[in-house]
Amino acid sequence: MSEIEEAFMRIKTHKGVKGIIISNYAGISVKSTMSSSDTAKYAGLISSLTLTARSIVKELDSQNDLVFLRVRSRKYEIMIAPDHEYILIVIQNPDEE
Amino acid sequence: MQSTLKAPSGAKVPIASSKKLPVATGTMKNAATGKQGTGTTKKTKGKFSTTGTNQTDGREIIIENGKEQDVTPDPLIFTPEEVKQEKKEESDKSSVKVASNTSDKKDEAPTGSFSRGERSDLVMSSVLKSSDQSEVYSEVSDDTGKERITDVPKVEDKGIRDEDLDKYIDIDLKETETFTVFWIPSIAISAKAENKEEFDKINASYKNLLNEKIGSDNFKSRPSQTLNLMQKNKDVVTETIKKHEFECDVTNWMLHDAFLENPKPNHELVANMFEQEVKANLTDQLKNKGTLLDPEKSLTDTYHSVSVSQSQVTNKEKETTNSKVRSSKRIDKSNHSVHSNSSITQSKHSQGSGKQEPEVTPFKAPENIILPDSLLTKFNIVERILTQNRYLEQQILYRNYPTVEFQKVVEEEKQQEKGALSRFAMLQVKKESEKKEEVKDDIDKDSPHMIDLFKYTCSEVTDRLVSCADWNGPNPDLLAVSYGEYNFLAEKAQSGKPYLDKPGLLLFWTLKSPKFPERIIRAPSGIVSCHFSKKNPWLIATGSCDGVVSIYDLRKKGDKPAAESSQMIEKHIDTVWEVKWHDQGSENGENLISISSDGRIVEWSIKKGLECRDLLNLKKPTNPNQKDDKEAAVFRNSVGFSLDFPKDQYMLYLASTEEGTIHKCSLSYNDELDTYWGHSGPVYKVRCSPFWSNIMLTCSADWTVQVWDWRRDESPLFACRSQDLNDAVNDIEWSPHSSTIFSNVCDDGRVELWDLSVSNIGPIITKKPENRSSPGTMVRFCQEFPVLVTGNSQGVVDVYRLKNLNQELLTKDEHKKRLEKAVYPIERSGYHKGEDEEEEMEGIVD
Repeated sequence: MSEIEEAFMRIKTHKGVKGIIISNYAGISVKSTMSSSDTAKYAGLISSLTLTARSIVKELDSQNDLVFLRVRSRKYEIMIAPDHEYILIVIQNPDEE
Repeated sequence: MQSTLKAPSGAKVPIASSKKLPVATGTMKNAATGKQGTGTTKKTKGKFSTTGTNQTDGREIIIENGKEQDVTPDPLIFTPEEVKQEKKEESDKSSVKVASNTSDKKDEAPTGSFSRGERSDLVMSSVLKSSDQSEVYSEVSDDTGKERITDVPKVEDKGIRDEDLDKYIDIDLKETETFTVFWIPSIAISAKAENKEEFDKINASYKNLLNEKIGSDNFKSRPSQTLNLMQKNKDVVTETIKKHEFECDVTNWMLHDAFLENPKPNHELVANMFEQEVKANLTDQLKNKGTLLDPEKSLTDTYHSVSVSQSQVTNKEKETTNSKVRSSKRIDKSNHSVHSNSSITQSKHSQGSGKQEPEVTPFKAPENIILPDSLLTKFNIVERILTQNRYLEQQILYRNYPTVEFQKVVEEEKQQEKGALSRFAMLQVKKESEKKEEVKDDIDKDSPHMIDLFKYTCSEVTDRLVSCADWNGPNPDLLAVSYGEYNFLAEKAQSGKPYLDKPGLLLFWTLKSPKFPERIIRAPSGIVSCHFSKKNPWLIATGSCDGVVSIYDLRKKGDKPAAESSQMIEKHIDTVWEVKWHDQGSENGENLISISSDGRIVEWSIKKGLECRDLLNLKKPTNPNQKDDKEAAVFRNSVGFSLDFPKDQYMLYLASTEEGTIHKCSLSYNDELDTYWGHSGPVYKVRCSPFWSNIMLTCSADWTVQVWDWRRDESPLFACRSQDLNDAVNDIEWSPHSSTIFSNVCDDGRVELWDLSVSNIGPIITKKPENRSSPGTMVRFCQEFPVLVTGNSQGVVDVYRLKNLNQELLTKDEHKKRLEKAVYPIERSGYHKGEDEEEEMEGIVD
């Protein structure tokens, strides 16, 4: 297995991880461990948020770029790591025991 | 251009004097009684002469013109009696007569079932009665001026005689007279018209008039103001037009994809639409009450199929609407829709059956999806964040931050959410947890103890022996751990198989990822020792079981070392137990010193490739304490286990051997300078105190840890051994924070922490493992944080947080003195001076 596949498996089996989605900026998901309806929802909503966040960072300093975005809500946490073309989204429930 | 209309002779025209009036649909009819059928009325202009004087005054309203003439318009509506009378008259005359009457008239249309007045002048109306009465009254108008004299109508009984029923009835239908509603005369006449000259004259005179007007006294122009009527606002309110917004982002590649896609053939599209419509209709019809359907069984089936198809329809609709927005190069659109359709239909079916839970098929990307490698860094980032979420408390402890209190709040919230607990129960639970905390605190509040933070381990290294570890200088979180079996005999005894040299591993751990190392380096042979270079922190040197010394450059990827000694002639031929980088100042730079089982201490330099130089051959010295050493040593070389450099001493170093001796050596001499006796077993490690270089610590298989002042005595100062320790001590290390603290690990798996300022009889902290199967093989203090790491033979590196150690902030001198005090409890005057002098002298001599 390639490194990336291994990393994917590790994250998937991490404690409390609800799902992983890899999508592009248009909201289309490339790979996901969740149901397609949930995936579509997350991908669509988060891609636009990422674009906004990225534009904030770039506008403040054009040399800068967004590395990471975390949305912590009461029930779970969404971790967003944007790439050039893709966005990696991981949803975790950190208080799970 | 008639100014008046020709009044038809036969019609009664209610004409007021001098008025143009449209011709009423004059009807000839007979008044109720005594009225002569005024079939005709003489038509003269403006006059209405009738024989109407016959009319009785049974009418309600009578209108007379100025000349006392009765001009009451006759009613247009006939009572049945009137009709009957007329009919009677008619029948008397017979239709023939009527026909003859009519035929007498010019250009009369023949009667029959239908007649039509060709002349526009004729005014006809007919009144059709219901079939019951079967009385048809037809009026024939006459324009010849002929008076129609009718007899006085007889009063007849009501009712229809049987004869009458069978009679033929003629119905004449004619047009009404044409009347002009709107007429604008033309302002142009033909040049060849007759009265052209007239008009020419008129036009010319008009032009004259216009010319005369200007400046003439006869004409005066005067403006007038039109009346502006008051305006009134009228507001109208309508329902808002509902708007629906739609937007989408389009990028270049979307357009490109859309072009590349095979468009659906038209007939297919039409067929799809048709299908959808049919299904929509079907559902609608099914909802109606009056639909004819099969008995109930098939009804449910059809309903299911309809509901399923409906969902398909909705899905398809969704797909078609969204497909323009979402199209991807990698995902085949049809596949996508098929998947989603099938999954949803599956779920619908199962819902319909009611037995299974709706299946949620996870999103399946096509098999050929290859994730780009650029995502690897993102994965790492996410992994770290996940770890942080999970291990937040431990990481905070590691970093020595004050503990955060929000954790408690979260727990309380969780309890509230669960809601199952009653209030009383919740209080009880709280009390219990509080009690537990209190109890814990009572025990551990002030005494030093270790808290288990994490375990650095992963599947790669289960059941591997942790041989050595080292912290990176600039990155104090990074811990390099080497794995390699060196306990050959023990392995053989355990497994019963001959020992096979398993490939060695070098893993780089950090608290940010306790579940998986940052990097894994694989070596052909078990790695027994490792050490980071201080000068070049990306270099790490390792010594392995097969005697190979390798130097890895961590900036490069891959498992291949930057330099290794496997091909060299002067390489070690046996396990390299320790490698250490030693900075000899600016002249020589940093060189690597290694000690091995083949009894050689070798210095390696990487200036021009890997070069080595023998420093020393460890020989078996004769033990001065044992005088009965009759046996001649078979092997002159002794096995060296460890070496260490006292702080600030460039040239001196100390090496420990299997014989239980420690040698003081110099880089510039080929022989030992001094030998220290004290252990009765192989000395596994020798370590000099980072605060006071005089003091060294050694650990041995003879169950003891010895403290030495190697400048003064060849014998140890004292031994540190817990009462119940009956196993070899495998590793020791001084604490970098406090001069009197050190730690050791033993074969029975325990970890001990000693503080010489407190006691040198027993450790202040002892941690024994639950199961005694795995011996501790490695112990290290973290340079920056109050953290201790230990390794065992199961491949687990335990990370502990030290609490309540007496770690005051003292200067180095103070530390030194503290250690002194601990080591030499009885102060001797002048001792320190003597010490310094001795040091200086040693520096010169040696």
